[in-house]
Amino acid sequence: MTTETRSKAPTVWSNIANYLKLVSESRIATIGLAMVLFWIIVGLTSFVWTPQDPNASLGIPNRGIQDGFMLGTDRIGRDNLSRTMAGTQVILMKTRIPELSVGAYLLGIAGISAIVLGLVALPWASDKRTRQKGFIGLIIAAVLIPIANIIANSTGLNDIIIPKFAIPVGVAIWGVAGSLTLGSTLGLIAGYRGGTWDQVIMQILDALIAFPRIVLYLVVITALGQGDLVMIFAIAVTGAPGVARLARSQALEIKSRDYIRAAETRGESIWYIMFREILPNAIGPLLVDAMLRVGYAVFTIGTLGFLGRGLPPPEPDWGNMINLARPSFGQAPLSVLVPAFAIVTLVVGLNLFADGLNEEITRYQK
Amino acid sequence: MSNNTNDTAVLKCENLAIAYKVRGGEIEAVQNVSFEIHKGETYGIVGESGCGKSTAAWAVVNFLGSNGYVKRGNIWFQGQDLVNKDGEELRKLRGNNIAMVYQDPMQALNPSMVIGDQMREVLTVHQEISEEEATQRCIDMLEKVYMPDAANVLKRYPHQISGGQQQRVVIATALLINPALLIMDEPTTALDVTVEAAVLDLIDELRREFDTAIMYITHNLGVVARVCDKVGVMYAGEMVERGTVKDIFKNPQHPYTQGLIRAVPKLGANKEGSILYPIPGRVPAPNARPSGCMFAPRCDYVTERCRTEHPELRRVGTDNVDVRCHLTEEIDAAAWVPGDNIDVPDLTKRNLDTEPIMVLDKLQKYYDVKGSSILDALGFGKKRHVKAVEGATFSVPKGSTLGIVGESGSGKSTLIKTIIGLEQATGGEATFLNFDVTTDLAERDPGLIQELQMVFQNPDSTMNPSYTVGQQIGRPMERFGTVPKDEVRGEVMKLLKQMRLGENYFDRLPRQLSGGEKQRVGIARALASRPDVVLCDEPVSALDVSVQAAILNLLLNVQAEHKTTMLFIAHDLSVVRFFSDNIAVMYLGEIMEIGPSESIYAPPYHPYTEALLSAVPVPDPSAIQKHIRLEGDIPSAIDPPSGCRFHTRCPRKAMLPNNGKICEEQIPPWQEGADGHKIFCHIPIEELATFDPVISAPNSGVAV
Repeated sequence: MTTETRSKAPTVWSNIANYLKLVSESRIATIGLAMVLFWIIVGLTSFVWTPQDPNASLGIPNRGIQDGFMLGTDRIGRDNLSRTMAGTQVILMKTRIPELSVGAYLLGIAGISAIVLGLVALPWASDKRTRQKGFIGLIIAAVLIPIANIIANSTGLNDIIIPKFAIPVGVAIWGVAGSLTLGSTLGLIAGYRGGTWDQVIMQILDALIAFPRIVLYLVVITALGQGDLVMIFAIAVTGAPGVARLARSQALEIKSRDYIRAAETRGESIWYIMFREILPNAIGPLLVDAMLRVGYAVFTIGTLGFLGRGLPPPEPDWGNMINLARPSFGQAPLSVLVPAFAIVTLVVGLNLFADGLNEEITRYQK
Repeated sequence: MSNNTNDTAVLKCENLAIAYKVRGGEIEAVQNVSFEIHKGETYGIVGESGCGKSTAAWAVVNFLGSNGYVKRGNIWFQGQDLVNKDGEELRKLRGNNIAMVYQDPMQALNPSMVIGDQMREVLTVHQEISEEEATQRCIDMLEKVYMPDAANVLKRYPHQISGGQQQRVVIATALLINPALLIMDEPTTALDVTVEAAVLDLIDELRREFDTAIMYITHNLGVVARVCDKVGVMYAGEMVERGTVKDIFKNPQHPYTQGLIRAVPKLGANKEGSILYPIPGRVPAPNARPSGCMFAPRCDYVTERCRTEHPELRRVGTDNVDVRCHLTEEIDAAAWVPGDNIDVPDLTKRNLDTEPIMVLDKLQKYYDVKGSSILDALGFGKKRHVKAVEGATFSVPKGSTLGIVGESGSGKSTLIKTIIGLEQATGGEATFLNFDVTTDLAERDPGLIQELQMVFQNPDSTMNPSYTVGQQIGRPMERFGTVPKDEVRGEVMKLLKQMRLGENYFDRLPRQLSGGEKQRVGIARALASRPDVVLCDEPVSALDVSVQAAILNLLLNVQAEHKTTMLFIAHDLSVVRFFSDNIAVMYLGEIMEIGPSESIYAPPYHPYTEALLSAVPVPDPSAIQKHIRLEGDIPSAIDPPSGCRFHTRCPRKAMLPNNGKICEEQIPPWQEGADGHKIFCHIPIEELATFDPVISAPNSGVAV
């Protein structure tokens, strides 16, 4: 605060450095971060090295600790340690895009564009000045998928197949990123715009919350089939109402500040006010919440895997491992306990990290 | 209770030092504080924010939190040492003998409990008293604080009574245990001036009746002058001067006290005739205090000795005044000249146009009220409105300042929100240059938006915490394209310089700025689009007096340089008088009186203006002020009183025949006085002119 210290404008790096400093001041957050980092390192390691091939039955089935199999083998003789290590990949490290036709890609791109365009147009539509532009945007968003469908069917695009490949960052993180985008936009509109927009948006989202979550997941997966992308979609949609509620409450509080009045008296667009004036000040709690949500998503993937509706084989996922090892728990408890331990430590780590960070942030706010 | 005579102090603090444990050490928030309060005496503690006033009070009741403790010194309460008492003993003593009243009554009262339960609890927890007796005593006490309909108030929730009544309940609750010591921490700061005046009267009366010792914490010198017998001035955690109110206001010894008094506009002072002198610099943070005299870095008289040697509190002269200053004997306050680092607005260049830049004609703003009945939900209910602004008619000449005063709920904020377009007018006409300004912002031309900008009240929320100073000042320039993109930085630097902020502020974040600095940035941002009109919504009311003076000077400089027209809202009548060329007095959405500022503060007065002026706390204990108190609360704006809206509370209504029947039935006429002075009242202006001035101060010779 002294006048002689010349301060610098905040950069991405200085922000990260600030957050790391905050984390280091909280023991809980530090422990949480260590637990999460542990699994990230394990996941990265598993790409280049695992003790055994995770998908090959190399040992005697259902045996405990033995030479070469530090944590035992599962019911068809695969190495528990290797499988648990590799299980990190689908959750945190990579998302597998299956074999699809170009037509399907076209539809997918149209779908994502429709959602993004809709999210951009929705604030405009709720603003008096840009209403027309917003409604045009919404209409375009609504017809994108049918048009893509017609194009795909009328040309030969459906017959050209692109082989499967993987993109970086796992299912849990993409899913949460999706719910963050969807939820925070809807929440910001509801909170800042208020009135009818608030009621309509929040009522739709509340209806979504009213469904039991696991049923919602099962409905989506049953309708669209098993797959990494479907899982991301399911996590994004079911998470969005919660994020939206948080974003809305933040927007409601922040919109009463004078700097929002100042922006309004400058005639700023609603889009600018929501994303440039409100969002940067609401992002802290939203990110902490997102951290928790990654934990929930890991849990969800585990649960669905346990129900046999999780991520498709062959790559191992922790929930599925537990499910498959369940009948032989008495003979080979490690096959259940090791992936269970993995889920627990990752989820608890994320929770501790988020809680600790949240505590530190709020401590300095007042 | 112990047998106190008048000479033993009820509360005595000796060399009190209070420290807070923080990460990486300890902060001594308060040090070297000594004072005593006797029975039936009101002891004022004044100083700017961050000087440790409240901390000292919390130490007495041991509310320092888990990391605060009394490091040195003693607190004697009725002869018992409070510092070394353990929890339970202290709790008993406190519960039976010490009571505290806080600033915000809504936070002191539990919103989910009826008032009766909260009050009775005070009696039943610490004493063996039956419910019936407790209720009776509560009613008696509420009647003593002039609460109308006391028995029924007990059955209500806090939100069902007004702010002034809430504070009465808090005071009554505090007095229930008949405390030997009553600590009041800014008890009237959140209240309107008329309500404040009534509460101050009450405090004075109760002290006489109950013989309580009162420790009164405030930043307002006017309040001190009105209610306190003795005063202690605190600066940077230390008591720098103490003595009787009369002595200190007549002849302040410490340079800080002198500076404080110079920074406050006197009621009746105007910008042409007098100058406000801010104290340069700011209160040092507790961990960055100088080793010598705390005030040395800001003092005009500083010598080498002040920087190295810490002064002790000592008795000077024949007055009963103790001062912590090495140089008291050498300082002559009358011979003071402002230092070079104070910039004083130059108003000589100002020549006012008479051509109006903004004209309002019967501007009206109603808000729809949603009923809760089924008919309302279906849209068949009777339409009701909050009549926030009604018939606002005035014109503002270019380059002048129109001050708008009134209590909260008078519609002054709604009026300027309507002008700037945050609200849409529901009737009447308003033009600015040739633009229609009755529409809301979404329908306005960018050229118009650029010309009307606003300065906000709360320094903590006026800046977006996520952006640097430079970004925020530069944004309007980019948005309106007033400055080419590559010159924005240079232009922002120019503005920063004009705001007396260095270039190194460009990259700072709001959290690195003090309240006054944030307000400067807010002003710079409002000026960045080069507007013709700046609307100021209480721009200085959240600031300390010395900072307030600096900001007012800054605004005056800006106005002189750019010929900016200003609309200035403030609840502090001295500030409005000082700052404005013309003043409009508003009550319940209507303008009651409007005219050149000197004519507002002298007879003929509108009866409401007269009441407002007589309520203002004047920082001069020898001033004689007329005693007019308004009865009751501001009526609801949904069904405002018929005829003259002020008739339900008007103290002069009886002057008219039939006890002012005409006021209830007919809307009053606009009566014109000299220089465009207009009064909205049935009482003939000749009669209003015969009233005595509200305040006469024998010392300064100022008559208002």
